[in-house]
Amino acid sequence: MKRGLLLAVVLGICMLDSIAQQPVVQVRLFRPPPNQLRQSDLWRIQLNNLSREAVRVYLVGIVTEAQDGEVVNTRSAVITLKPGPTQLTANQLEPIKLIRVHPKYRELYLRTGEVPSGNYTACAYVRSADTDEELGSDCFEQSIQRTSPPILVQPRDGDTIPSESRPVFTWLPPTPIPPGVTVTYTLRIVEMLGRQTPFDAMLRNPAYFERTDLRSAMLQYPLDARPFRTDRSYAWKVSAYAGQALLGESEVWHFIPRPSKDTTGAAPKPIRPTRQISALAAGLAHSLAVSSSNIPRFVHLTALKPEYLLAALDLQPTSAMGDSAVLAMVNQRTLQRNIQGIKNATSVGGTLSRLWTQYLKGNLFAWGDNHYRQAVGTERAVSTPQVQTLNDVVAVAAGYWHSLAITSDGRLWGWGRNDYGQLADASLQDISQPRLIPHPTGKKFVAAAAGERHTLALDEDGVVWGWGCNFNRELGSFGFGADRDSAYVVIPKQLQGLEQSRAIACGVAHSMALTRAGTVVVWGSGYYGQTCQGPQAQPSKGTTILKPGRTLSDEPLGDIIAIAAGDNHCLALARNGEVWAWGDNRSGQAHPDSGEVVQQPAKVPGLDDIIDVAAGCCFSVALRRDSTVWVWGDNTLGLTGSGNRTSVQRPTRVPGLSGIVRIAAGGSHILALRADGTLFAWGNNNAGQLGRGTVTDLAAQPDAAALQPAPVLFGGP
Amino acid sequence: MYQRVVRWLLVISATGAQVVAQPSPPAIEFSGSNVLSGQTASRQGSYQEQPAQFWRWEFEPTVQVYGIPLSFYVLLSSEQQEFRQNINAITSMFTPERLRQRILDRLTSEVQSLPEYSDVADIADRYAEIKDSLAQFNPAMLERIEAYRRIKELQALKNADPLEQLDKLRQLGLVSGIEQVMMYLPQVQVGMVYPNYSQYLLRGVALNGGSVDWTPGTFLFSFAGGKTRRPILRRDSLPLSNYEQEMYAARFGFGHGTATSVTFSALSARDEGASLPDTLRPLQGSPYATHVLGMQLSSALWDRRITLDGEIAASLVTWDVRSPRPTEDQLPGWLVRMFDLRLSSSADFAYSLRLAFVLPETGSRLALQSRMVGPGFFSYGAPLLRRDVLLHEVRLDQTLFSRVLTLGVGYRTERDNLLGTKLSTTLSNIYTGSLGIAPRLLPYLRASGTYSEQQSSFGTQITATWQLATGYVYQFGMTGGVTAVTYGEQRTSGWSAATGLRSITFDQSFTFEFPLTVSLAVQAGLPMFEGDTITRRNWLTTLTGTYTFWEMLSVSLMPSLAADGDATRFIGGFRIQLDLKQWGVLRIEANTNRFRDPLNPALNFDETFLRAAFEQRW
Repeated sequence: MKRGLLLAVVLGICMLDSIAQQPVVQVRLFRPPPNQLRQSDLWRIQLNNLSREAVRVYLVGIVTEAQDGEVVNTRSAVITLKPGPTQLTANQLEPIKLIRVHPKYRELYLRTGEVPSGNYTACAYVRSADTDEELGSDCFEQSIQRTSPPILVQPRDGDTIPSESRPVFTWLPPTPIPPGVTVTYTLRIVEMLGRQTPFDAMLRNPAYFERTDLRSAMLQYPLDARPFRTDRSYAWKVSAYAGQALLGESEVWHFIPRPSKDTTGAAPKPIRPTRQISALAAGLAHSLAVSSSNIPRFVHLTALKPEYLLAALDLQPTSAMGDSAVLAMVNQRTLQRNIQGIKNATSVGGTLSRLWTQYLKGNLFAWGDNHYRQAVGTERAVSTPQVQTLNDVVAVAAGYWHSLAITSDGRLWGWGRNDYGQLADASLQDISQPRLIPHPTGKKFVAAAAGERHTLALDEDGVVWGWGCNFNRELGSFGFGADRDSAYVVIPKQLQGLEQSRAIACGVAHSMALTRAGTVVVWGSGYYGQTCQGPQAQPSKGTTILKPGRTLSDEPLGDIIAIAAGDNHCLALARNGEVWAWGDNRSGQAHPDSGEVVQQPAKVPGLDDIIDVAAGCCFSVALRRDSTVWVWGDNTLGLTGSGNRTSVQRPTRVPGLSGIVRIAAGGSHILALRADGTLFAWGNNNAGQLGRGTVTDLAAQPDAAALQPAPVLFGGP
Repeated sequence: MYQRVVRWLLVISATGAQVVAQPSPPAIEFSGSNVLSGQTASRQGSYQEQPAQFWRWEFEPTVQVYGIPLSFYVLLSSEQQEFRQNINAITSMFTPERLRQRILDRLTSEVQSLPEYSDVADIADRYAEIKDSLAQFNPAMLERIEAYRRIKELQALKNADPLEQLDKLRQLGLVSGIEQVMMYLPQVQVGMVYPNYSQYLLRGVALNGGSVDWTPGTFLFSFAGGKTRRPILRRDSLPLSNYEQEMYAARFGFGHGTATSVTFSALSARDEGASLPDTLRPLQGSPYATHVLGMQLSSALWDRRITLDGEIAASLVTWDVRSPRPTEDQLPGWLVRMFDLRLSSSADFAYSLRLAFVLPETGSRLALQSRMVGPGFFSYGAPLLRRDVLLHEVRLDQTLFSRVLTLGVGYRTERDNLLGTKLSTTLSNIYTGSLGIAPRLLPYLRASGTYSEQQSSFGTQITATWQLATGYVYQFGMTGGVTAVTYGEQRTSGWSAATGLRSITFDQSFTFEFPLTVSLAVQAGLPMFEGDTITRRNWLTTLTGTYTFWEMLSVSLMPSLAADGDATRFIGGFRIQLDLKQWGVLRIEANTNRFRDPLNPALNFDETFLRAAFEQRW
């Protein structure tokens, strides 16, 4: 019995001792996310007071590293734990006292708030504030691996990539990665919407493409993923993981898919359909071409201002506009460019509020310098051909700053600069849209020529009419008399004595006509010998008539079939294919081996079998029967097409150009039409007159590319 | 500044009485765009989170009051997901800054009309002498001379900041009184805004709040504030949850718009710890708070041939705003109270300096850069900024023969582990080079390469990429063609798994442009991946035919066939664009996509999808 009692007492003592050794406070220390350990993680803690009474405790947090030993030792304020579980907050534990900090970690912690790479054990101990007895504890182990994030390599930030191809995404792995650690990557690509930045798009948008668990630092966009869209930009990012732990995230870059043909690097610009060009003209720095192709047009008539509508419809304001016979001949894009406030335009007639469509011929394209609206639209320089609001055009002419067109019904239209009435408008205001220049007697015009500030037109009877500036008597004294010469003429005046003409030409301040009898008539400024009256001749009051067979040079002038006027020189093409030139020769534009002025027509050596001639500012162009183009004179802007800038006095063939059927010469550029309809242009491009979609001032910034003939880019419809 | 304000007040007081005929734009103008787009597909795309069906609406109306645009921007999308930040955005913008460009355009236009007055240029100098007689006998000539003199005065102002010359411009009739007042008003945006202050402080983060930018003269004042994130609880993956976050940023600068400017910036952002349920708190990441101070310097010398840009920024980050505060023996009490510092707070800094020499005369550009971002530097305004790096870089670019020849070489050295937080320091040396030859009418040649060497105690990692490409663009008759051959190599070897890709790609495309625009493109490649026992051949053929009916209906057919090894993909489809002129443009794209992989049939799929967009601009 005694032995039994003794055993019960011993067991009771043992049980009490055992109970006394059990923790009074249960501690749960929450483990931070993988690869993260901060001092504050020691206080993400839950305590459960298992006793039935409140106890006063304080907490001790200790972090140790496998190699460096104790890293930090902290102690909290004393708190009272009520029975049961308690989720502690920071406020309850303050102030936290740092007992010890490993010196190596102090600066790191102040600068980064984190511990460096290592294997850590973090423990929290709950001690009685009264007895300093440990009432409970909890620990966790945490491995920290600090690495640099993945670094994106390709495609580079902002790169354009071919959309059809499958780009290879490349990045650098995070460093350092200890041996044995397997790194996996997640590549995420999102579309960028609206005004989103790459980072913002990554934060908000669902993945357009996401691949996880990638083992290598590159990925070719898979074949079974949806191709990228060319109307979007995409943001991409790489995240690196070691197991579940995020090692780092790259920056967010973006790329832009484009159709692959745009990324080949050497300007692969598709050339639009070749046009059936039927007429050409080149002004000082602008160009005109007439296309005989059928081009569909449609326009919503109520969107037009009345004046443009009427012009477009070729109707007088009083005309009755039935809804079945109206033809819209205006290009919508041109209208949008030309008509300011199109939305405010008033409707013209309720019957016109519908779409009209018609196939039109003889569409006029214009491009180049548009300072005086001599080309098309409102922009100062038009670098690709744009459609003018005129069709059914059969002939064109371009002066320094004004343009002329003749429609198939024989009516003459003019637009551009009008400061001397060269558009036959007494307001002397520039005219931005083709405006009718009526024939004084209602005849049809068949040809027109434009100089710097004057205009000539030839009607169906062979009569020459002139208007505009007459300072240099470029309109002659026909009909006015010596004492009644006007400085400028704003109404077309008939030039007497030229009733049987078949061609006309205008220089800067001189004029030419070719009569049906093959006679060349020259008048106006003769300062450079244009009128064959010697150098520095005063403007001729009369004319110089160069008749076939008349000997003004050593050889008789042949039967002339065509004429051309440069700024201050003249060209005449004889039926036998010879070219005669006279006038200004300072750049060798008239005749080689002659002085600065060629006083009388002289046959240009080295040219034969020529079928057409054209004259620019200071150069001359000839088209040979074998469809090759020959140039002589000024070459400072690369007019010989050979890529150099050395002036040539002897005619030089433009290399690489054949099959040419028509030519035109401007102030410092040349147009040449190939038989297949391709229109080539070369020379100066300071106002976009080459129609290449660019504007390049060659005089200021040499560009070898512009020195060779290249097709005009007909971007318009 | 005082004078400026007084002048401004004078302008306001005078505005009502001022009658300015010349420049006054329409009082109110409306413009804008409206795009409604969407997609419906038979299945969700492979590797995509994007749903099979979705729609988006982008609406951007603008009302211009005396030329000052007041714009609105709305983006709504059905792709919005509860567990991501909001895609939908609404912003209203009052941007008088745009008026500056309008005035400059107007000024340029006026000055360009100077040649029209060449007839009076010679006598304009004698204006004072001849003014009276012209007024009597030839008032039209006098008018032209005065117009010429006015444009000459405008010409003298052309290169100046309009804001600095407002009085003069107003005198010359180029700026109306209302516009002059508007020019002094700040730019205000409300809604989803994207303030961009600097690379270290605030860049690319969207704020749902507002921003103000004011540039009176050479001064700059900016403020932005609002919520950057809404609270998101990811019960499926608690660490991916995020707290609600607020951000405020401000900057002040002077010298803005001049050769040298200095800007001071500050940012404060904070996660709202209470925005997620308390019960889950221990399982989530901790809420942060960041305070960043920064200074930027920008200087341009010698007609911008030399430019210098520098930035220094310091961040004070609290990595857990709920952690206990430090005791006063650790940090001064005022500092703790001012920034609400906690035991988890840390401070670090970052700087960058960029120096560039540009010589347009010789086509040369030399750029030097030095950059350091401390491992503890952090700004919520640039959260994914690469940290713990010291970088030096030099790069030289040269163009020759009118850009026919371009050359570029660069060297960059980087070092991480600036404070010894990593097991090993990685030193990277990166060499880059590029060569481009693009002679006119001859094939082009491009070569580029990057060689990167990362050295650490664990070994050396080498990553090399280089590419050689040549091609020719040509035209014969109605056909345009492009032929290109590209050889590329990308290789990584070292401590991480060795990977490599060598590829040679051949591209050929033809475009026939009349009467039907037809494009045929063929791309063939031989990619050789490291470790593959066989060389995979891949190729892609696309054929596109487009025809436009009546200038309003464009129809394209665009089948494409591609192969990668044994896997093949066929995409057949068409695209229609209907130009309804002032009513808008309708685009419809329909595709059927058939993918087959004999080696992994589980990946096979057939899908069709239709995309449509209706776009209006007015």
